Amino acid sequence: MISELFPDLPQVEGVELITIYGLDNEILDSWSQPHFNRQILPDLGLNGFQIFSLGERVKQSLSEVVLTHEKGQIYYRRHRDFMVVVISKLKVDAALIRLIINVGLGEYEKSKKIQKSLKKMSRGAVNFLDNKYLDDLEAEFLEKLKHQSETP
Amino acid sequence: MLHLEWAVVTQLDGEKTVAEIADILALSEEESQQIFSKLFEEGLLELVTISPDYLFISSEVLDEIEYELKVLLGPIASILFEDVLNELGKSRDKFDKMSLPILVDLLTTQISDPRKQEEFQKVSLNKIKPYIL
Repeated sequence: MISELFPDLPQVEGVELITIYGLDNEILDSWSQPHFNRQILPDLGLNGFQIFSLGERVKQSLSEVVLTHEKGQIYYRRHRDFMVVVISKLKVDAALIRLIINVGLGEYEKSKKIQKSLKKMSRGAVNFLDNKYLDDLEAEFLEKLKHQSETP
Repeated sequence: MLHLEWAVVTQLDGEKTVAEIADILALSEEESQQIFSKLFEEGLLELVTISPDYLFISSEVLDEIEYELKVLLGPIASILFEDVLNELGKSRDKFDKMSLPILVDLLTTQISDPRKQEEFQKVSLNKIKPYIL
């Protein structure tokens, strides 16, 4: 999928990882630089889905989140059928990642073939804010958030 | 430290920045400062002046992007294009290539039709690719 939808992304200097996740956090396709530790991929996806779900909880409909840190940035992009995550160095402009992904998503909408193969691979959305995916602190935080939103 | 200094010297190619070399060799900030300072003081490295041609693109590239916007939006595209350039604090004759993606991003927000947005982004990406990849 990455080579078909986002062929330019691996060529951007500083991009270290590109992963496409199904809505159940299954990895549909992934590309990375050789040195990259791919063991983080499941947690990376889970965190992304949780961020977007939390956004919905607080009535913010997010489709893109960029987290910067001292060594680089993590770009999350949500689509109705999957999620794309890109890890890169700080020198990579998020606007460039966005542009390449926007173009790729346009191609996805036109390609029945890719949509069909994704449908076969994907198992449907999961609620990643369910308590079974949260530790005690996270569950407590969500509970507080819920009470705050219910309090007039 | 000598082996690290040698490792740094092998990475010097007139193009890599200090940060890039430190990253490749997994040097700490302290190590980077010490090694580069020492090499500089000993005259074993010097700063390279980057040619403007390397940083900036010709105004023709901007003209091409503006043209694509005109095809979609008509004559108002020129005004919108200038507005975005002003917003970025850039000029046509000194536009750095690294700002091309954000230029396309901001110009896209000027287009309300999602299909036209998609078309513009696709064409613009093809135009700017040679300069940014």
